[in-house]
Amino acid sequence: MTVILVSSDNQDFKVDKEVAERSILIKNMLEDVGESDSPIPLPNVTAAVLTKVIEYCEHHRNDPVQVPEETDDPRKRSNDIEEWDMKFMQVDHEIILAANYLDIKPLLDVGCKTVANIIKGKTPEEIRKAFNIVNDFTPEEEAQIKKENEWAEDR
Amino acid sequence: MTSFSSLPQEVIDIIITHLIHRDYASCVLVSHAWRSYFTPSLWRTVRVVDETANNCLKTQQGRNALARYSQYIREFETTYLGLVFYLTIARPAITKLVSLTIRLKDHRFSKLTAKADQAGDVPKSVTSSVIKVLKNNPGLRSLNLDRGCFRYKDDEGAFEFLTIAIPTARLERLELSFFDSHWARDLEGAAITDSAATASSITYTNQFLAGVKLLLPINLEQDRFFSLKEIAITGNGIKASSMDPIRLSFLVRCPNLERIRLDRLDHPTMACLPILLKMACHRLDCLELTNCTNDITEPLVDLLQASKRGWKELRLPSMYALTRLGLAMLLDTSSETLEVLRIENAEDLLRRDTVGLLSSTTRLRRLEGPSDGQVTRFTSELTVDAYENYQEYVDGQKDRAWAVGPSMEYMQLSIQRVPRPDVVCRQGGRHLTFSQEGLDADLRFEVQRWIYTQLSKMTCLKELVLGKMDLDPELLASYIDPLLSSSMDPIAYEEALLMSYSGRGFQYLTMEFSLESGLDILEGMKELRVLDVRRTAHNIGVKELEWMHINWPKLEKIRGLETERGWSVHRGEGKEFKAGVDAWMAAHPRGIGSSFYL
Repeated sequence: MTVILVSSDNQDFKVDKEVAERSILIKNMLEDVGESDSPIPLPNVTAAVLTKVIEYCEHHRNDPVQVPEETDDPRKRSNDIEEWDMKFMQVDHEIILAANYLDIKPLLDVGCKTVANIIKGKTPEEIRKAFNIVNDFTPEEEAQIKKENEWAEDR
Repeated sequence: MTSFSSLPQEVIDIIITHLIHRDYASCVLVSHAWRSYFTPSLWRTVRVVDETANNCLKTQQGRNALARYSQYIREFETTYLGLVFYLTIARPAITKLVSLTIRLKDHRFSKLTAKADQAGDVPKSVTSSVIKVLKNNPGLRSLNLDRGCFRYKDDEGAFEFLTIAIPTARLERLELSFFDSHWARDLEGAAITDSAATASSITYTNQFLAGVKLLLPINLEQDRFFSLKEIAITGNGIKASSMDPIRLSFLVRCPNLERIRLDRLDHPTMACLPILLKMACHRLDCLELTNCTNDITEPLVDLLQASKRGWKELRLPSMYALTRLGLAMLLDTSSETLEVLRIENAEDLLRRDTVGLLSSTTRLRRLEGPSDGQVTRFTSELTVDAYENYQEYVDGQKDRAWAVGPSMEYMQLSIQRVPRPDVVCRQGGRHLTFSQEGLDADLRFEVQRWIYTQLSKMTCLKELVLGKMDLDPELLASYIDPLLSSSMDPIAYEEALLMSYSGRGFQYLTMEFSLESGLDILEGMKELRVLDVRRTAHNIGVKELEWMHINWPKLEKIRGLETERGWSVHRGEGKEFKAGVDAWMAAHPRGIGSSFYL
């Protein structure tokens, strides 16, 4: 069985129901509507991003539903991104936004881990470079914050 | 990855959970926007346990920062008295702590008091400062204090006032340390029984009981710790006078306690504690005991009766304290509840008793022994005498079959005395057939098949460790000339030890894990990830690896696969055998099981 998803720029995507249901948002919508052929509008997702999201869901269609391991510290797990996912995530933050909107928890997690990995171990200047951020602190402000944080450095 | 600021707060919150404190410190320096995202995380946990951090926060600027961000602070840990005083006078007050750790060790406070921060409403003693901080933070979930917070010298009855002040509403975890490094004695030395203490055991438990009765009305006036699930108590070794067991009478206010961790408890406290636990803590089912003196046998048997519902988790240091009586008690109350059992030294436990344990516990999930690298004089795991177990079963003792089954995930067990006529060992460079110690060599495969059949019930087993027992370098040195041992290769070293101190180190009469010996009985162990055969004379070759590849798809590794020792039946063809295994392993770099190659 297939469903039709419509992106914000009015492109139709024909997708297996099983694949589409990786998105909890779509799954709930389908359950609410019942048996119906009517297309599902996704006004927050562009065609370019939706293509990528569907690619992800196709790749992971057979994954078991994720059971969160409560005891695990997430800090220790951000290195366990699959190779395929890692390449996939090199796109941009719009995928994270879409994953959040469509409620695809594993994709959101991979996205957040990827961002965290970019931040990890970097100096403020390196982070600015990576995210294309302008330093909007005055030198005085910067010096003050540095002073306030001294106790937290190197641990 | 360009625009971070367009991400919604809930997404940023997930990102934050993947970072550590040092990263937050960098992030707040990126831009104004980033500063607002990461400041709460940076100041959520304030941990001041070294001079550098303390010096930073001691300055006026540091104090100002603490005041400015106090609303974010949830977890506070310090070893500095100055900061404890600061907490009592901080404006705005810090009131939202969920976790507080104060470890003052052996500070000599009286002199410090005068120097403490500003004058004014500086509390008179350390204990009253701590009490003030506790009163400010009714939402505490975790509290960790050491004896520096409640010294008798500074304050009569300090500890009792403190326990009354501990917020009860949400506290889940409480850790108290009575440890005083000035008085602590090496526990190795404490192996000599403190006979005076033991002799008066009955006297002081009676005194204790009287004391508890006296204090009961006072204790019951206080709120109960309804949320408290876990308590950890560190005592002071054998120095009995350093910790009066009556101090623990607040335990009668902990009706929902589930887990208790005890470290370095002295004999009187060990003897008195079970009285309290039996009286009030009816939900207790996890016990962890570390660093005990040798004379705790009696109180330990008592303590093992303190769980009304049967133990779920037990971590015990040594079996010479437990004895057969203790084990019988344990099996009596807990054979249907026990899920985790850890025994650091099972040397004095008879092998028959191990079988008793394995054949009566039905819910066991983890059977743990000494950890890797633990090389104290006496550490060894639970041991099964395979030959005896087999014979008993053949002789009609049906209860010798193991009951541990699908619940088992981790098992550390030494399986010894398997007839192994194939095993040869080196001695002074010569190969000798290893003594079979009166075993019937013809039963080599029968015995192994019996053991495989028992193991095969554990269809969810993830890790099977056949011995982590490490060699004690000191012990070794006492048997072997140090000059000689420094030039020995590790195997020769081990051999020498084995010869001089039989039964330690490497095990020769063990399971083979070869197809010939019946490995295929273990076909159903689909969850196995790690097989540890470092201490055993296994016969795992290419055939076996192929079989494991197919039948144990999730097997990541075999520890101790290297076949460089001189004991194998394959000795004659040893080089070829090893080359085959090496080639197979090189061709399967991702893991042994087939699931790594899908």
